[in-house]
Amino acid sequence: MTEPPAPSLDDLPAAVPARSRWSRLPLIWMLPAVVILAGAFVVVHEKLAQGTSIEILFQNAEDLEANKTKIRYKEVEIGDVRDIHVSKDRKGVVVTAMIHRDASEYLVEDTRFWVVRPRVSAAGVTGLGTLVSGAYISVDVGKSASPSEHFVGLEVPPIVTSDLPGRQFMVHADDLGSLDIGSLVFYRHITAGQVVGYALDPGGAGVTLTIFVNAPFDRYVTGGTRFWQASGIDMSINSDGIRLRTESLTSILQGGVAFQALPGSAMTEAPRDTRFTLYPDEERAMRPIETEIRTFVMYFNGSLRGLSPGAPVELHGIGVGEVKSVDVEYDRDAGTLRFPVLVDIYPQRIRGHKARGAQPPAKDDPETSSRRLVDSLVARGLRAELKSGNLLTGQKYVELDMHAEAPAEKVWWADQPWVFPTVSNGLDEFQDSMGSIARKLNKVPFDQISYRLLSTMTSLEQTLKSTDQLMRHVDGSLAPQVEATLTEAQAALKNAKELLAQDAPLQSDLGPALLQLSRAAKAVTALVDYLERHPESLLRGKPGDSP
Amino acid sequence: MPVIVCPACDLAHRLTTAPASGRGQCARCRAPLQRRENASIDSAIALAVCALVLLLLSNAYPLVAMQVNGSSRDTTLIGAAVGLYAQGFKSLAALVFLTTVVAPLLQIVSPLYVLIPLRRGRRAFGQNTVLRMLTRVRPWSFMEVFMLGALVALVRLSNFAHIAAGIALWSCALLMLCLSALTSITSAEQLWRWVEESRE
Amino acid sequence: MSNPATGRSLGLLLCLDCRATVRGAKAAHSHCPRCHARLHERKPHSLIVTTVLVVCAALLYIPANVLPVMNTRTIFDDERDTIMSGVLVLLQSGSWPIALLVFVASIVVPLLKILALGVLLYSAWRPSPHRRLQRSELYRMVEFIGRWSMLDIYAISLLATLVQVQSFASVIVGWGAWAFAAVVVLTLLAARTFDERLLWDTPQHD
Repeated sequence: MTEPPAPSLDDLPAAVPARSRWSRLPLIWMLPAVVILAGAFVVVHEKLAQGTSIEILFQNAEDLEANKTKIRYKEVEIGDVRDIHVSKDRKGVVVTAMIHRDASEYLVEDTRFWVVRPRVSAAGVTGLGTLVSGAYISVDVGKSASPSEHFVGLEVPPIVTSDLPGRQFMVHADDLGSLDIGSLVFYRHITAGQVVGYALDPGGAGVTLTIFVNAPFDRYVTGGTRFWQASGIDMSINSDGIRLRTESLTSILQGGVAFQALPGSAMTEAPRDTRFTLYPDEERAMRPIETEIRTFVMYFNGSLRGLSPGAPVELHGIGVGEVKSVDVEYDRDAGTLRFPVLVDIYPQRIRGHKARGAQPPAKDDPETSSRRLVDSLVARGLRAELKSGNLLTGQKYVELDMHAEAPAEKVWWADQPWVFPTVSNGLDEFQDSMGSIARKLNKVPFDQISYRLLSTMTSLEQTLKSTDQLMRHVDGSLAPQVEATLTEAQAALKNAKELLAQDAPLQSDLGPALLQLSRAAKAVTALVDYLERHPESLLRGKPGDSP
Repeated sequence: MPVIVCPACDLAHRLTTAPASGRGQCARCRAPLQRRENASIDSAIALAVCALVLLLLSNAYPLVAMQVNGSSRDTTLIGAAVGLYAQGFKSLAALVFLTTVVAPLLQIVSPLYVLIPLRRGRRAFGQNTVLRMLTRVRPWSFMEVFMLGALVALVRLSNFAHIAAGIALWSCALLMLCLSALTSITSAEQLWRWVEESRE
Repeated sequence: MSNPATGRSLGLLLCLDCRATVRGAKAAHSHCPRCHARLHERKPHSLIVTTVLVVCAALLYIPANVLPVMNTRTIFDDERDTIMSGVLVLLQSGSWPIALLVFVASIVVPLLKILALGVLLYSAWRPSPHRRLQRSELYRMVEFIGRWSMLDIYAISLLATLVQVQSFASVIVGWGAWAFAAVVVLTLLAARTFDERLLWDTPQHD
């Protein structure tokens, strides 16, 4: 058999090179692929780690600089300012900041931002470090659960930050006094908190302060706690005297509020934002609430100056009430002015004092029994009297006391308010008698008397001088007349001395005595004159006289 | 007979196949003359792409971050030039910018611009101008000098501040390597040879 | 070699842009057939331009080293640094390798470049057949190391940008830096405009 001819090599088909798509891709492309992937990875990583962009609205951009100012929470940097531009309504600046990703949980609704720069405030000087390091924005993270990316920045650092333990309360006062934001709150003289804010009440009737009390002191704010103004120096001048109180040096300078629970009040903590009243001072704040008050009106004679509302009403020195107001009333019928003094009496106190040795109370209602008690006391002479508590200050108070000699009076229960009988003050009578004595003394013409006395003394002096001269001339014998005259004059002088020495009724006795004296002096003077003109008459006597 | 002339001493040489490794040198002055170049366009394009990505990273992120006294600052590559500009040295700023951003960018974009169409057999518009510009621009690309300068700056800063290297610093280092590889692969002779090859 | 075959003698021109060897045309200006660049036998006005550049660089070298390159201002004092004092600061802070690097790159290299270019210019002016190889190698070295002087400029730019922490320290760039950059750029340009083939040109040519 013949075989077919062996195929030549040329007939064989040549292998077709496989044009694989992948073989055309040289290994070199791995390199850019890797690089691109790495680059993309880096970009994505950076974008994820970038953090959140937030906007904060401030009034101005003072001390803030884009790409430079940092944002710190508890002094740890959590972001920085990227851009600052004026807001659309031109009322502030919008600060765009980038917050680190791990701090983005801090961005909740009530998170607060403020700029830390050197500041001088009631609390002191803060932020001095920023002079060196530059201003930064500080954060107070809020407690809200809803995140936010737009905030309104605070212009002033907050007094209390959210993480400070304690509670907030509202205290109502008539006026701010010397208090301000930052004023301290004291508990038993320890700084326990601060005033964080105040606002005028709607209607303008008062001021409501927001007070933050730090832990653990907030535990002591109970339902029965009283707040009072502890500003400065509390100096009270009243019938008890002068009293000086102060909380601390700081409170003198910047005002303060103090609080304490009333003894015996409930110990349950007051819930936050409870409203309290701010009393003007500790004494008034700690006054126990009088559940029973009886108001009387009293009419006093004499000046009411020094009697101020709040003055005590005392019974034997024990406080049983308080003066509420002092008014002026015009009595049409009598045509005079009257001065009613409204007085609050706390019957609880009286009852307490009178309980000792009292008879068992009658079986009628307390109102009638108390009236009866008052009636019986008044019948025995219980009166109200205005007394000077302090001569130095002139403060007066009302003293209830038994005056046996007082005219009989009754409490007028029918009138509204009840009128309580009063007596006058003894001091006034004394003043009256002193006044009349003074008037009598005024009538005596002391100056006339003294003038006459003076002229008499002057002429006497002259006479004595002349007599002396004469005596010198005459040596030895004296005319009996002269002697007699001289003796008379001596006697008269002695009389005058006696007269002057005695406390004799001056007006009636002295006048004639003086007249007599002046006559005598005149006679002597005439004689002396004559003698001088006619010295020989001493020897020869007067012509017409026989020896 | 193909002849080449030494660019350093003007001596004429016969064009032979270049040695397998190393370079052919001028007989007289030992200037480099020839080199075996058989890289592919793909390699060049790939390298250029790498370099482009790295360049973008180097400019987008900060080079180095400094922390002192509680405040921190960082800067990018362009930021360094801007810093000079901000101080009033406009020409210096331009110099830094040109040598560290513009020149490398042109060095990367030009080969891409020419080679990508070339790979598809097409001729880029203005190809010759671009290639000529590339030769002139290349000596002004100072990325490796910049790296060394940055190192000196880091050392000086680390004396009083806390320094952290940014992403751009690393990408700049890689870019430096990438660029030198790109430059060697896309020499003038090689580029023109590719151009001529694509014409065929 | 008595008469080496240079491109010039053979009438060949080298295109500087694309490195093509082109047969020279008689026309005054001719273009490269490959890349259309203008062809020159030698770089035009090489000697003059290079000389001018080198002289300017030499003149600016003085202010570059005398004027402060960097002004470090802190709240306490105002420290002016020239290049040399910057090197000393680096030395004092203990980083002597960096100090050495800056010293070489910023003080030695520019000076070397100026001097080398001066030598090269002189020998191009008065060509001598001796030591041509060394001079060629000198030129290549100049061309290579020239760029590294720039590193101080980059360092200064980074420092000036980063150290702007108010109330701590701020760095102000001084005019010495500008002069220094000018020196570097001028020497770079000078190296570029210098045609190294002039070193090998024999005086007898037309």
